Amino acid sequence: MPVVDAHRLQRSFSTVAAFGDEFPLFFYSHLFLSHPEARAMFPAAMSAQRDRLVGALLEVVGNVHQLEAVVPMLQQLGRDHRKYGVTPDHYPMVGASLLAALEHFLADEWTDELAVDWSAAFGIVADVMVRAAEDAGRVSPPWYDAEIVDHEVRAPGVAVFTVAPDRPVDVRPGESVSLQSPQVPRVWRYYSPANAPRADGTLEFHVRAVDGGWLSPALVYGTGKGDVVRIGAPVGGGLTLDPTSGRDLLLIAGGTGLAPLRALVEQLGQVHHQRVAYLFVGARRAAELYDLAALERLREQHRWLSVVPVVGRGPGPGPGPGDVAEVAVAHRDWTDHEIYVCGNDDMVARSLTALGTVGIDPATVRVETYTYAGPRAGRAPAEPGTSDPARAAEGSEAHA
Amino acid sequence: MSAEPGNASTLYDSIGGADALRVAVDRFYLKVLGDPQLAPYFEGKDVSAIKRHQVLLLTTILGGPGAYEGRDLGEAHAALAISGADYDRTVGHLVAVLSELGVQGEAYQALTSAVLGTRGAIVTGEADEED
Repeated sequence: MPVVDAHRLQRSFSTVAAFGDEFPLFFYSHLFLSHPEARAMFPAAMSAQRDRLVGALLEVVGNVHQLEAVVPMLQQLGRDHRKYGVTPDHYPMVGASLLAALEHFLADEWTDELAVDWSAAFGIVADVMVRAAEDAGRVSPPWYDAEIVDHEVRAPGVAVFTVAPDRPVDVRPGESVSLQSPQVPRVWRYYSPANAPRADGTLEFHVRAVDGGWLSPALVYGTGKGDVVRIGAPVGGGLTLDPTSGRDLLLIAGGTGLAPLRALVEQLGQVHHQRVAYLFVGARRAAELYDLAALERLREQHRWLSVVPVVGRGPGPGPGPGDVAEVAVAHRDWTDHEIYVCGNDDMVARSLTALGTVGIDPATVRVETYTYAGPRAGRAPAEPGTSDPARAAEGSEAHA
Repeated sequence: MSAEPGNASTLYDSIGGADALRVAVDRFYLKVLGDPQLAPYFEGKDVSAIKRHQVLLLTTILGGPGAYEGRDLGEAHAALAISGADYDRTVGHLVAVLSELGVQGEAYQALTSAVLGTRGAIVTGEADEED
């Protein structure tokens, strides 16, 4: 493996990253000009895609001194990219455009040494992705076709629907898969199934129509029973249960962020365990507690489960009365609990703040880690209000 | 916050007794009657009688004095054909009021879980449930 000067590479990337959107714009323009046939693999609107590229690069560059840390993410990315029709031949084109974009923005700072560093780093990334895709290709298709067998708009802008995939999707509770609707070609967004594996292989999704989003309004209002959606390879390990842990659980859900947490509860319901679980279910308005029927059934079945609905939201960016995490922290002492939080970026940020006020280290809280999905990146969500809302809407339609 | 050990006071006392419950129920009905989706259920009904019943019911749930002697909840709601969505909306208004009034901890959980537990008895309308 070639030796990469991590510091030099990171410094050069921070120069490039300062150009913001211009960098991915140049990269994709270069790619499409030099390989027009590649354009058809991408969605009509590219801004979410640009965020993804930068998010993935940030993750890789930030860990370039310990690339093994990003290998699982790259493997998922490689498996998932099969749905776009990506083959090993495509990687050199991408590498060439990446180097061209770096050279363009670094200008005088671009050196032969940097070119070697970046080629080596990209080579490693491509290698991991290609191998993961090839391995996955032996056991699973690039995507699954899944017929919608049930579809209901449960609350204003929130749909709950069930799909029957053409073959079993090996998704663990807490993981996500990307979905694509026939009405919106080539646009994929990540959603977590709300159920643990079922005998009939069906998956249930909870989707909120995000204002200005590309896919979610189509899934909520433009899709119904009998339609066939596509499902990509499972990704994300941030919210999965540790089967060896015996610790009690605090699960805090905001909006459709309930889905993966309900899947965890269902998973626990399928095994013998001694754990106690509290599920706090937050909604912004009274009409948005959309899944109480299923939660009440789970609560009746499982004595170890408490379900606590919460409605409201404090004014401003900080936690306030009626904020789901605020209600949860007032509830009791959660020391020694395993804590999972899922919702939109603001909800997660507010929850981590609220948990912090009672001495819980945010780094120990389990949150979603679509590290390459741009705005959702990492364990430390951006301060509320600093992200461009239009971008956030496109990049993260899940769990709004 | 949980009740202090060794303290005989009830959850009912901890949230402020009858006065607090009356305030909560008043606020709850302001929200429900102000919700165009739910208001029709109350047309022609004696809302103050319903409120009195609800205060008694919540009092019982929280271990307060007296006992709820109103009709069985299922029977009382049977003719209304309440849908699951409307029921959930109503629960939403109730929990919003609890948060606004600063009800926390055990009392919050006792009230919300008791309310959730009535779902099966109250929801009789169509257009409900995924399975």
